[in-house]
Formats: sequence, C-alpha cells, structure tokens
Amino acid sequence: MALLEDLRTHSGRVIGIFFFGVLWVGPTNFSQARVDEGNCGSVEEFKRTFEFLTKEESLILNEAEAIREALLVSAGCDNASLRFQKIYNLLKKSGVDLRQSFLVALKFVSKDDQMVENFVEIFKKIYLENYLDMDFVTALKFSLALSDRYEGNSETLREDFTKIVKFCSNEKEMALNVNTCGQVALELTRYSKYYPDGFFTAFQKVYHFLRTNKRMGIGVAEALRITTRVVSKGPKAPENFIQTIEYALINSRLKLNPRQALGLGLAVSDQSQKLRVVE
Amino acid sequence: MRLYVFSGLFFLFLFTSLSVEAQDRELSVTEVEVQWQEEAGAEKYHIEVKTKSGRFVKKFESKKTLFKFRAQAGQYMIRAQTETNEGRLGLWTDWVDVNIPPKKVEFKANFPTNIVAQPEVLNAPVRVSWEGSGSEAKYEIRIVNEHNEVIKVLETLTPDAQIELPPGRYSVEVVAIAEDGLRSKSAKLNSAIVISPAARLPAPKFKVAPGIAPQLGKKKAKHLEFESKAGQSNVFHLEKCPLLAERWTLVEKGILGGPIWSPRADLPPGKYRVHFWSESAGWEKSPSVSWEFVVKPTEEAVAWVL
Repeated sequence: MALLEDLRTHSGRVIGIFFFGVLWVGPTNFSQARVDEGNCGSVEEFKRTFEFLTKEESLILNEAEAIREALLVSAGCDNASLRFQKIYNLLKKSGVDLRQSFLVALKFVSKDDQMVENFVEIFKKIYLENYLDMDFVTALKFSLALSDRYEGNSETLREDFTKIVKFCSNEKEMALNVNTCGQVALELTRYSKYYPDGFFTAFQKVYHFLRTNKRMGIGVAEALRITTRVVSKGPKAPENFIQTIEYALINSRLKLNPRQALGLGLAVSDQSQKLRVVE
Repeated sequence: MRLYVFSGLFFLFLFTSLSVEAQDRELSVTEVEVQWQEEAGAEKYHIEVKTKSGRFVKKFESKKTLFKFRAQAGQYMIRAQTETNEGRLGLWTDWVDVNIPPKKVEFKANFPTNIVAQPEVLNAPVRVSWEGSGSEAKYEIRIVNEHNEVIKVLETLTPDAQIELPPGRYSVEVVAIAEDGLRSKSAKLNSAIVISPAARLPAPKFKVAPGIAPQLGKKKAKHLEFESKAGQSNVFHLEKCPLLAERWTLVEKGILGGPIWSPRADLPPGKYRVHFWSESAGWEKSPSVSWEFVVKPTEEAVAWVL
C-alpha cells in the first residue's frame, strides 16, 4: 500500500506541472536544491521518449501530454529514456495498468542503469511462475526495495534473495509461505554487503546446525531469529558461532547445558566484527 | 342491438341476459325484445320464432309494435305479418336471423394467481373456474404469455380447467361456445397468473477437496472442474482487470459444455475474474461463484523489454 501511496503522491506532482505553449516551468522538485552531477544530452532523451510515447497508442496521450511526460523523463539525464522504456515495457507486458506502469517507470529515470537492470532481473525472479511465483504487488514491493538496496554485486544479492525464499518456503526446510519468506529474505539482504560470495551458504549452515541439534530443541521461528542475528555479524560469525557451541558442549570443563552453550555461541559470534569506538 | 328492415317492417332486437331456474339448475337465458315500426291499417301483428334448424319455438300475437320473448343462446329466425281490423292477413315477411350469443363468462374469484412451480416437474398446475350459463356446449381457454403470445388453446366441456404451465406471467381468456358454434365475448381474467420458479438452483461447486481452493496457473491446475448436475448448465462470464487498477471488463462469456472450464491458453497477462452460475428451465438461476486468477507473462515474453 505504501507503494501505491507513493505512486499517488508522484501522480500529484505530475499533475502539478504547469505547461503553457513553449513556456516550461519544471516539476516542483526542480525548485528543490539540486547538486550538479554532470552534463546531460537531454535532447536525445526527450526525442526518444516523445517518439516512444506517441507510438504507444494505448496510453492515449495528446501532443501536449506527450511533451509534458517526455520532459519528465528527459529530466533524468543520459539513458533516462531507455531506463524508462525498460521498466514501462516490463510492467506493460506483465499486464499492469498503463498509467501505473508509466508512474513506476518514471521512478527510475533518475536512477542509474545498474539499478534498472537489477529491478528487471529481480522482478522476473520473484514474479514469474518459473521462479518464486509471488503475487504481483508483493513482487513489485520486493523488487523496488531490492533494486534500491544493492551495494556491491547485485547478482549475488538476487541469488541470495531467491535462494533464501526457496529454502524458507521449502516444505522440508522452514515450510513458511512465500510472502513471509520474501520478507525474511529482504531483511537478510541488508547483510549481503558483508558477503562478497553471498550469504546463503552461511545462513543454511547455521540454520541446519541449530535445527539438527536435538539437544538444543530449537523450533523454526527461534532458529530463524538466531540465524539472522549470526549472519548479520559478518562472514566470520557463522563459524565463530558453531565452533563455540561445539567447543562448549564437548569440553567437560565448561559443564554448560545446550541452552547455555547457545548463549555463549551468540556472545562470541557477536564479536565477529571489529568495531571501532568513535570518540 | 340490431336493426333489420324487411318488407316494410323494421325489426329492432334488444338482448338482455337473464338467469332462470330450470330442471334444478340455473340456466342463462336471454330476453329478446323485438320492436318494429307501426304499419298503417294494421290491427295486430303475428310473430313466429323458430330455430335455425327449423324447430318451431313460439308464435305470438301482439297489438303493440313490441314484444319480448326469452331464449337460450342459439341461432333463431323470426318473421311477422300484419292483420287488419277486417281480419285480413298480410304477407309474412322473410325470415330474419336472430343470433343470441352465449353469455360472457364470469371468473370465480377463489383461485390462487400467485403460484410456485413444483420442484419435481418444474411446472405449476393452474386451476381456473368460471360461471357457466348452462346453455353453452363448451369453452375455449386461451393462455397468453407476457409477450402477448397465445401459447396454449384448449377446450373444455365444464366451466373450469387445469393447465400445467412453466414459470412465467400469464393471462387467461375464456370464450363460451354454444352448440351451434356461436361464441360469446372473450372474458379475460382480471389479474395475471404469476408462476414463480420452483426454487433457486444451488451454486455450482468446485470439484476439489473441502477447504482447498482451485488455483489456476501454469504450475498449478489448468482448469476448474465442477460437480456436474444433470439438466442444468453452468454459465460463465470472464472479466479482465489490469494489475494495479480496479477496472473490470467482460472479455468472454458462454455456457460450459461439460463440468470443466479452462481459460484460453492465449489470455494476455493480467488479473482475471470468472463468475459461474447454474441455469435450468423452470428454476431461478443459482447464486454465482467467482474465481480470480492472474495470468503471468512467460519468461520469453519479458526476456527483452526493449
């Protein structure tokens, strides 16, 4: 729903644009402080977009409207038109209302090309039946969130997300519904930046360790909570966690029960990241 | 009222319906008033009445130019002659036809006009009755539907009838017919007879385990299957709505040929809603059951978005 609210706000801005003949007073956000980030070949972007919009008969835009919308797109600087068209076409081919497709695509004109590629790939992985097969609104929400989140290797981020959702929804593993799993996976991708090769293997290892150790008697929800905490402490944390528990349970001098060993494992794994004290 | 002119005598007939007791039953008779113009020199008039078949009915003498006689419905003939005060008789006029039609029937008021069809046969037995005059030989009943079409004509010898009719709105008209074929004016029942369907059909049921909703999709069920019921058909309406909008438009409708409905394989991506209900002659259509599903694009369709 937040997405839809966002779209409505954006739509309000679009309507707020005033166009009279050749006199153009830009979108209201042009009046906000803007940082000069380089020069734009805006004429190309305008031309490409205007021609695209006028060929797109199903949008039913008159000339003035097409000019107004093309100007919104060309404001996104170089490649803005291609970014816009990619998102618009993807959503249109998925059966989305054309006006809504337009508004979602408009959100990407000022983003970079990599983010658009990321959105397209993530959306396909999440939405299409051959992959995660989530419902459209959830798929769009996750795709927008994930495409905005990537830091580093976006392919790894996508892989982590889809693997976590599949693992989480697998009847033989966590057996949770796919939308809940998407939420879990989205949360976990916050830590993707710590794992250049992806965090799924570490996640799986910690989870299995907890669930297969019968003496600890940990359920799915608790195992998920503990695994998330461990993974969030960086790539060394999973090994630190598992080895601490194994050490505590094997070492006769510690005399800890499994629950106490678990507590110790968490305490040690929490120290897996070197934190700099800020004076 | 009819006026006949024959051989200088003008006959004016006036018919008035009467009821008289005869042989333990009430007979409807008509009083016929015959009037003519006075003839110069006529002291009195002789009038003869016979049936069309030739049976003599009555002979009258009258000094006035008017007389009355009673007769049941039928075809009669009448003639007259003058007699002077010297006792000289004039020539008989030609025979003049007098047709006395049967009395228009009157419906009895004590039968129901709002009827529910019987579920076993899906029709309703409608019983109508009326007052017969006793002189008519039979009755013709015409059933007229709401489109003003005569859907049934039947004859009965008694002043009542029972008719099996399917649900609908009807009017009933009855004409009394005398032995010789004379027809009364048509009597129309004041209120329409309304037959409601026997009952509402139950909504179609998906043939799935209880609590499990059918899912449509490439990796899921490819069709919806219903529990089939003999004699009833399932009707469907398929609507489409773009994603992120609430704008439903009808894209397909039809009647299922069997218990299975499958969406067309070439439906473009989007959100769909299909409504099903059952229909059967004589039954009120069932409540509808609806199902919503999303057609997703294929991987190939979105492989290249530029």
